Amino acid sequence: MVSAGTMIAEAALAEGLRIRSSDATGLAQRGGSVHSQIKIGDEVSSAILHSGTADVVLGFEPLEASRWAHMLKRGGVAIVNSNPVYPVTVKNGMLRYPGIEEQKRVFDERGARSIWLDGRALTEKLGNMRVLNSLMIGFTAAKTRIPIGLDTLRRIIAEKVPSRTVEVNLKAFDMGFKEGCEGP
Amino acid sequence: MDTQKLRHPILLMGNHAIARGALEAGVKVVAGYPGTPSSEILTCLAGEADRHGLHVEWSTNEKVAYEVAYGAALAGVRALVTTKHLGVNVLSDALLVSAYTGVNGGLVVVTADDIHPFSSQNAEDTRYYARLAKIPCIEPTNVQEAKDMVSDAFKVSEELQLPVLFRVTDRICHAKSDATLGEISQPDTPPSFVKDDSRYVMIAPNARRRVEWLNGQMDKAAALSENYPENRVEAADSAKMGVIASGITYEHAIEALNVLGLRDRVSVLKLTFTNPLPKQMIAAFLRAHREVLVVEEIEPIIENEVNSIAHQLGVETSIHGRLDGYIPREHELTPDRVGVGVTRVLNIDDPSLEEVEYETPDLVRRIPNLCAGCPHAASYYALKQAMRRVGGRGAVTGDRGCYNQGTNPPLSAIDTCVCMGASISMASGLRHAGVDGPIVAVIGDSTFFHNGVQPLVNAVHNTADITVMILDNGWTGMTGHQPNPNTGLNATGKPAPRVSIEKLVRACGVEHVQVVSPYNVEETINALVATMNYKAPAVVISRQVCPVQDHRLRKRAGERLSFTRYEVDPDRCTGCLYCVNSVGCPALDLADGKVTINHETCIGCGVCAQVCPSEAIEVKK
Repeated sequence: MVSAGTMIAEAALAEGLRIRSSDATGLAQRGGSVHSQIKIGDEVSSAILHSGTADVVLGFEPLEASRWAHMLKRGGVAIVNSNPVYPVTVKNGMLRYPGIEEQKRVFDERGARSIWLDGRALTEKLGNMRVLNSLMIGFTAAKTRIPIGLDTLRRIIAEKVPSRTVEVNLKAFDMGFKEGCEGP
Repeated sequence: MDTQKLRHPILLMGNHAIARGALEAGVKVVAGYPGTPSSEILTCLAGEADRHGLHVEWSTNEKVAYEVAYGAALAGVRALVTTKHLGVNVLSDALLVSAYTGVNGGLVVVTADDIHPFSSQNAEDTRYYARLAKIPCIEPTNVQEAKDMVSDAFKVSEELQLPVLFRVTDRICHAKSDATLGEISQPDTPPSFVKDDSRYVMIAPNARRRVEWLNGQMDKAAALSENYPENRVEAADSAKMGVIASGITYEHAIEALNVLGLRDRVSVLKLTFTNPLPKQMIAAFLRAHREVLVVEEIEPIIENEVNSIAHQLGVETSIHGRLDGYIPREHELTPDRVGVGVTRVLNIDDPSLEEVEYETPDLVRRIPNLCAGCPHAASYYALKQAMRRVGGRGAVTGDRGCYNQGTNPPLSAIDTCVCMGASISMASGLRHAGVDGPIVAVIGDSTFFHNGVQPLVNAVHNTADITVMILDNGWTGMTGHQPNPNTGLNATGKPAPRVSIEKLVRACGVEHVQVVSPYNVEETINALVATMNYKAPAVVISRQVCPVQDHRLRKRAGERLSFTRYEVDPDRCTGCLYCVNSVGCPALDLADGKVTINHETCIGCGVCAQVCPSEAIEVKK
């Protein structure tokens, strides 16, 4: 499984841009928090973002998205998949999962915008829950000004996903893009 | 790693860059033990071993790995060791003496320091070992240099005949960056070992001679450091302030200065050859600046040496860093943390800078747990039940591996976790101290081979009445499923003899040994109770292959996996949450106060069904 971060980085590379990125993905299997940070541009330094400098936070889970809100610049955009994954400590009642309004406020307080979408409902329409990455990248391409062409993104998705899932992933990308163009 | 793509930048992970660097340098022998964040280096090289004629091995521990590579380097070939920082402690015994004999072929020890730490028991700075052993240390600042400088490290090693510490940190290992590749060299030095006992036999008279040689080599190393092209000054005209930055922190400093718009007010001294330091270069930098901020990961090693150079020079330059709190004393640096240090030195009180001090929002932590259907969770359940049945408080000493996630709620199953193999020896110590009740050491199969065998022999020899529970899942799981002597495969995926844990344990002198499957809960509890009641060191081997790896391999082989489907009967489930709290399986969900099973993650191990007090979980026909 190639992460959305790697696909975006590969696409940026294909556009001739330079990359610094940093992954902390080891604990996904064990229910831990995972993230990637990516800088793309003509001149980049350090694999860690300076807080308050990110243009986009791409959140695959609400709690995890708000965890990184402090990285956004004023006027930055968070794209958030609204389907929560509850930690075991929430399931057994030890801790309370924050409500959606509370989480939206985290972004508002930073002077950033958060755009929420129901990734599960959309991928269910495609009959495949494992295309959320492509869907989110398509949505992000519509909602933000990431400096990567649509054709490049589609080409990289087609190269990186398992060959038998290319078609459904591209459908998901297009659906995400369309959703992003139509929404508010 | 397509050689046709040379000169076109590719997206490269730091650990793969180091592996590529070793191939470009013509490495012949590679040995290591898995450990985050180093593991991908050796896995990557193992995949290239056949094509390029290398020997690549996962050794039983880092000391063994180092000695294998060192032996190869004595024979004149280039050899590489990979380890995380804690492994340097393990190999240090050999490292310190091997610096006396020196090497012939280049010997590079890649140490991946988890400095924050993200996945380790401590946050140590292995650069101290370069000073202790008196060997050169190289610290690349980014992914491209992580590749390029491996060749430099081999050249330095051969020029000085000394092992070289190649020190990287998590943010290089697991960073991805654009990078260009060079040509791969095939190892072409014919191996030869020439007897030279005055050099290789470290009896005291030889050691007394060789320490003089070693000190002389480090004098030569100082000259190399002074002239190393990537030890260099990036001067800002008429800057009164300078930053001295080594390794990854150099890029943090550049980023911070860019974000703060201070590039033209602050000079930077970039250091990558950091033991010995280029003292003359540092002296000139100190003379040229009124204030200097030293940034490094993670102890103030360079800062202390810079202070000492300043003292010798008698310059008035103020030196700041981790020692005086301009840089936080603990944890990894980020562009933010370096930036805050810079603005404090410059006395900038600009309200717009407040933005850089954002803290991570205080949110519900996502505590990692054992995977759905993890046999370790079942083992812990049985262990806690057995302790209750035997009675007395006792203790469960833990060890290093996936199974230390068992310390997290809701399992909270282990009482200690210190270093590889310590579970068994610490259990012995607790017993000898007079602690009552069952004392159980819990250790994984790979950890047992790493450093658990000697403590077990010791427990037998010194009659420690303890129980040792070996959690045998067949793989080194925590670090990404590397094979170990119990797997039946070697690093390159070829069949290897399987070393039997039962036979080994019996050969250590343990008389009471039981093998169980933790998925059979009652059988496991009974075996543990019998073992705890046995009045001598006794062993339970709790054996169940890691399902994550097992399913991965079976899928790869084209198998369509199907699992026994368990369901919760909502009429019988009382919502007591005993299953959630006693097994902690992530496949158990809640809906309307009743437990449900998440069939996307459940693997049908059936442990929850065995523990449910209401017998509400059963196989769906």
